[in-house]
Amino acid sequence: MSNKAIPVLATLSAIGLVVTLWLVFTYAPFEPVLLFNQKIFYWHVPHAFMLFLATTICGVSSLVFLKKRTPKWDDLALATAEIAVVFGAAVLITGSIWAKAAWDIWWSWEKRLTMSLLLWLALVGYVLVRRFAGASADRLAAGLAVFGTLGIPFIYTMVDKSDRHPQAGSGGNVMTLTGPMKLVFWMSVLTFFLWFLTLVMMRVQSAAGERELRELREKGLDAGVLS
Amino acid sequence: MRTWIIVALCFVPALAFAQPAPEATKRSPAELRQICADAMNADPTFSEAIVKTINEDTYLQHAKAASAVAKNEKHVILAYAAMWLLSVGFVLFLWRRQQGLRVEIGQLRRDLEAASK
Repeated sequence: MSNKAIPVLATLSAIGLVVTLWLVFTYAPFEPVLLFNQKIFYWHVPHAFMLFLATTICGVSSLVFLKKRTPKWDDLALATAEIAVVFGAAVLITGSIWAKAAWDIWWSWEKRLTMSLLLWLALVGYVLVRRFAGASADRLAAGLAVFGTLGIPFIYTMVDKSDRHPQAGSGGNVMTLTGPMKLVFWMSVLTFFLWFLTLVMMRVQSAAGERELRELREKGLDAGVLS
Repeated sequence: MRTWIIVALCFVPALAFAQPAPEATKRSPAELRQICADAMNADPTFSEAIVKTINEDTYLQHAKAASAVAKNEKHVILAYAAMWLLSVGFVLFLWRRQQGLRVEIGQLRRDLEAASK
């Protein structure tokens, strides 16, 4: 299924990326408070949503893997963790650039930024554990993923409690967006959701390949083909 | 004697500072405007200098505002470029890994088949 779905999803998301980019700069109105830098919002926030989604899926599938020990859940957890690292890096980098444009500083130890950095570090920790922790890496990393997922509700609610974090519109959150801004934003979210699905399928396929390679190596060792 | 001289030297400036400052002549805005208009009419170079200063100031303000918007443009471009680069980089990384896996799996399969014959 995923073999056929990947090109379709990749094409749809590529079209979506071009269309949303065009809409951001031609259709979405100029925000009078944050000025031109508000345009960063249309891709920055969907990246953050996908970070949360990837981390949640990683946490839930890790939990299921810890209970059932089924490899497919572990593959899904690994795939979503790596994708969460990529989306998290994008959120932190673009957030930092936005901070420079909006506050004239590259980084502030503001609540939401700090929590996002901690979540990203937990995800990087997951990937490093998977790579270097040896035989029990999958279970150790699964525990870390469950721990990381618990941070998401705090980060999400921080934006309302934070007095400094740039808001979606003139003082509102994404739910209070209106008109063209709302349309462009939710189109971006849909596009990045499709892109997220594409990446997950690609990475799950790759994880399945890695598993197959490990099994073949074990067979090779047993058969004396590998030393 | 020397002490008295020092005291006197300190006293004189103190007196000078203690004098109340002369009150500035208070004029209404209309009077000030008239004075300025008279001065400009009397001396065309003064008038030109004022207009030039105002224009330069306005120009500077516009330039500053344009620079702020341009600065934002730079940041917006940087942010979008970073997002594109990360996505493209990750896809390339996945693709290369997938290619490497295919080659390695194919090789191992062939070796295992050869060993089983």
